[in-house]
Amino acid sequence: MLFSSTVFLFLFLPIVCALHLLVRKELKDYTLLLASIFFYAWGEPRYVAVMLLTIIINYVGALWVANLNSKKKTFGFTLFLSERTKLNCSCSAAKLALLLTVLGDLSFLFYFKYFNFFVENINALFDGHIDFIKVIMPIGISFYTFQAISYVVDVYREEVEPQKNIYKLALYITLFPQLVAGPIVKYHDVADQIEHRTVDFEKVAYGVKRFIVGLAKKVLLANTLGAVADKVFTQPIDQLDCVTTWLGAICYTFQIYYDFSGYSDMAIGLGSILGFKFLENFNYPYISRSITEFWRRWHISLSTWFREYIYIPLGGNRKGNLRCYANLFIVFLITGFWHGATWSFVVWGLWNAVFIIIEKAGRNMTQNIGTKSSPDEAASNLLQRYDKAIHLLAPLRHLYALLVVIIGWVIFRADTLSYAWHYLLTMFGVERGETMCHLIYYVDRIEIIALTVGIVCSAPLCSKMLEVEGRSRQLRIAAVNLWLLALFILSAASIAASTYNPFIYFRF
Amino acid sequence: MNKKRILGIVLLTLLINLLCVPLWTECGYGGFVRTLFSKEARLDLLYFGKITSAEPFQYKVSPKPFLASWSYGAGGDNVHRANLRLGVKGQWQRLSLQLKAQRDGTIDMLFRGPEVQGEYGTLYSVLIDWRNIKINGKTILPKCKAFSFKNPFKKQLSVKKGDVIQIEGEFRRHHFSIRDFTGLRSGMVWYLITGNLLFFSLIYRLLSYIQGGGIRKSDVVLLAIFFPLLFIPMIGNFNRLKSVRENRVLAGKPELKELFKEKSDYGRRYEKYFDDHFAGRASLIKLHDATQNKLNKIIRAKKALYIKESGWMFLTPLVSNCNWKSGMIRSAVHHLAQLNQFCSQNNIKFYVLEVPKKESVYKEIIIDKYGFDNQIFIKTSQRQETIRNETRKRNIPWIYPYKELCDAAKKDLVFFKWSWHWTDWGAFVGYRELMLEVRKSFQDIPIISLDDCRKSRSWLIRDTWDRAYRPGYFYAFFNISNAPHNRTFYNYYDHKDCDKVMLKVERYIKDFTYPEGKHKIMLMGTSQSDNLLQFLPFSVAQIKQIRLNKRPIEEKEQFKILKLYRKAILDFKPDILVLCITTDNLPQLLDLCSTK
Repeated sequence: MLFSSTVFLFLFLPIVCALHLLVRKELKDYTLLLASIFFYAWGEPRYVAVMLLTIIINYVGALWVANLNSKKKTFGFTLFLSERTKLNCSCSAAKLALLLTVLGDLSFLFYFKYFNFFVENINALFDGHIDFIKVIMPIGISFYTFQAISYVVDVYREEVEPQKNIYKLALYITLFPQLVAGPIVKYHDVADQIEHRTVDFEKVAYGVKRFIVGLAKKVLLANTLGAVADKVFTQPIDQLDCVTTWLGAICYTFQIYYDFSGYSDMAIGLGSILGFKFLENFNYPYISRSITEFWRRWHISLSTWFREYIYIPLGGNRKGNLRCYANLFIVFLITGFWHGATWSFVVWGLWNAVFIIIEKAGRNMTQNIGTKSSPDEAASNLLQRYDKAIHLLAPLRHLYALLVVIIGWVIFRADTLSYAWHYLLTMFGVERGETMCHLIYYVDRIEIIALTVGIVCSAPLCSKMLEVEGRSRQLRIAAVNLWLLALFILSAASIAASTYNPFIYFRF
Repeated sequence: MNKKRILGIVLLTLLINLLCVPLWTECGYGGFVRTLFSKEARLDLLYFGKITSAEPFQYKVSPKPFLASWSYGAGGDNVHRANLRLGVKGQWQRLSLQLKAQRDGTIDMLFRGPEVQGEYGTLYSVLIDWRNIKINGKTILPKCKAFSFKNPFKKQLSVKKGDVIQIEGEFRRHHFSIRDFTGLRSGMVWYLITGNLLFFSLIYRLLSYIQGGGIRKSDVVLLAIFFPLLFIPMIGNFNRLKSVRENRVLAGKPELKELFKEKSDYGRRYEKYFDDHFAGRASLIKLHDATQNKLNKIIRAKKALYIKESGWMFLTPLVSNCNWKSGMIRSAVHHLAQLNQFCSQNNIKFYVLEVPKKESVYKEIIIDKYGFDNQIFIKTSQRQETIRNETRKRNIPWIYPYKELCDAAKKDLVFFKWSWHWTDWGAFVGYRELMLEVRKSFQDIPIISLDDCRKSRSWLIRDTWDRAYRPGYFYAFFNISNAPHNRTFYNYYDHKDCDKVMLKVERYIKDFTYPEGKHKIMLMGTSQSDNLLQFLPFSVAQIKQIRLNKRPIEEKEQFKILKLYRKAILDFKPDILVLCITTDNLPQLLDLCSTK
């Protein structure tokens, strides 16, 4: 069930909201849990079992980890790497329990998402004949697996108490607003809210507004621009020219942003209506001046998850520059792989890693100059000039960041790496296809309006205008509310229009 | 309670009561609103008697109807109909109608309101007031009375050839009065009182809550509108069966037991069901399409596009999806050869008439306005040409009047802008090319010329065999108004000897008999073959037209000619068999002689 479907919007959501408001406080969690399981079962009833199994594994695992943590047990073992080399290891029992639980979580993810990818590559490499498994990936498995891991790691780190009530843990993992497309909510961020939360008028009003904004982003902007991007990216590469490829790439850049951020807004809004406060997932990523900054603003819940649960445990930047670069490389390799089991996603992850490492190295170098020559006045002047130059170069840095991001999205969107390569060559004029269709085939006024609105709204102009205090603030808020209602009706109209399916005998 | 609040409650309660008024009338909500804004009164004349393709009576009418159409045998009921749609106003208007019978028979006169069909097939009663109706000076309805489509004022007359009948009367848009509120029964009065009390208390609570303070009022308004908007779609009529505009059956409710199947798609099916039925769907779709249509230069739909500037509509994909490998071409030619052999064995001459795609004849418009490249047309037409040439090599005449239509398009429109069918002029070009080929074997078959026809003009489209005028078909794709934005007038040609052609109509088979002709033609094909019937019946003695598509059989079965119609062909014993298809039908040639 998608948030932008009629059955969610006009059936599931009003019923769940009404039930949540009407039932007694102690029954609210159970109502939400049932609603969330129903929401998940709607699309794939079979895979509810997988999710429930994940819940049980993590419930038991976390209790086990907490129990062993309290006893501080350790044990040693020897790894026989070869006849001559032995490795004596010691490990806390809690860590082992944690590892087993995480492995349990990841085994589902591997089976459903990555098994066929590995089989395909092993077959290709070794000319093997391993059979593929016929399996459909359960919706949202990447998101809820990461949430489950976050819970058990938080318990291991003793940041939170293990959840004794399995229903409450189930509610955390299955909560429908963030179940299918995030944001990835870390357990320590919502542990308190699961136990004690309140629903008040302000939260509901905020949630409704946020939900409408998200819905409009998804339906009015992302879907409109997505149609253009789809038209371009489904053309054979030899039928595209430079302008069209740029149009496709730019439209996709905004489609993916408004699609994903719209979904996150809807999730945050729904969370707020139900009394939760989820952390922000996007913060105007396209105004970034570097790829590092971009990743601080893009899919924040995923970046912070990787930082907290992979980058920092690997040593982060505490173990020297080279180790730091290696850690970044690993994190972005996994980031790419997390997005999908194809080489395109892996290459996209590595593409980002390369620029982040270069930027990190550049920052390290300037910091070194700064610390080494700080006593010297001449060097200090040099640094000031450098800062000024950086400031003056801001538009260029924007351009650089956007260019890297757009190229990244081409790799991300293309069906194959070969298509992406030729697409990029066409974009930069190295190759030129035999154009079959001109621009008007791809865009009309609606698409141009959507693109313009998309570009304007990707910068924080509107929200800054609203923040300005003054007499007319109340009036502005009222006008915004009116505008939001109009947006909601337009979005609903667009959703309804997608169900219009005339049958007319024709072509005969 | 302060005065302001009381005033607010009273006003809102009154407003709700006012909105309920139509519910107490016979028309209901839909009919009430449509009657208030009705623009049309109807006078329908039904002729029962000898059926030919000529009109059974002539008429003069004042005021001039904004739409007058003839149709005969629509649905196979062998009735000649003249539907006069008269513009209606709030004041009384005089009607004067003079009928002159051309044949003996009976004429039913129906004075009524229009038939207004809702989005989901609901018929609404739109009332029109009629009075002082006289036939040849004799008053038959003296006082004002309202009539709807379902309940018309009906008068039957027997006529003889040459009879002149004078009809007079007055009509106006219906004025509602207290007599119309027949629905206000005692039970409903209680319902009204209870509803008012409930509503009163609800408004009272809401206003006290807002006036309580601490809450931003604009937020209260937002939520007070947002949440009801979420609930409204649930109160739709979930038992509707079809959508008129979409011309399809709506998705049915899946059974709950399907939820427990191993590979259940209950969710997907329920979504389809809900998508089709939720309340406000039609209005939301209209709103969306109106916005799109207002803003865009080119309106795109799933299966068509509309270039607003020139008023042309085209089907998508714009080029035929006939990307055949050589094996498939051989197979299609083999099927044609087999059918040709069957015809030869039974002394029948077989012809293929392929109607070019409208999109390829008017490709310049598409290239200019839609940004398509000519290369696409060239590439696809080359592939299709191979099939034609291969067939011709087997001595099967294949008529493809593409060049002729392109030339003819310079003189007049050869296709309708709002339909995929060719116009009378386009069909005439096709007919002429077919006949020129036929005359190589049958020299005694005459080719009629346009001088043999009466010419008329209309902005409406007459593109199917029943000769009824319609606004076109494409509007349904775009969900826009039935009336085209730019009115284009088309020329129509009706043969002067129309009344000599005798008709026998079954649902998918039509027989035309012309006493002055020779030879028999069996015409098999799609709706494009309907347009040939303006001319073809006047060249031969008998035509049997069999409509291949749009039949209650599976699409892949429809073109299996030898399997389905072998007996019909042998029974009719035609001299000529014409298979009339369009370029988009080429893939179906692979089924022609399938017996499975």
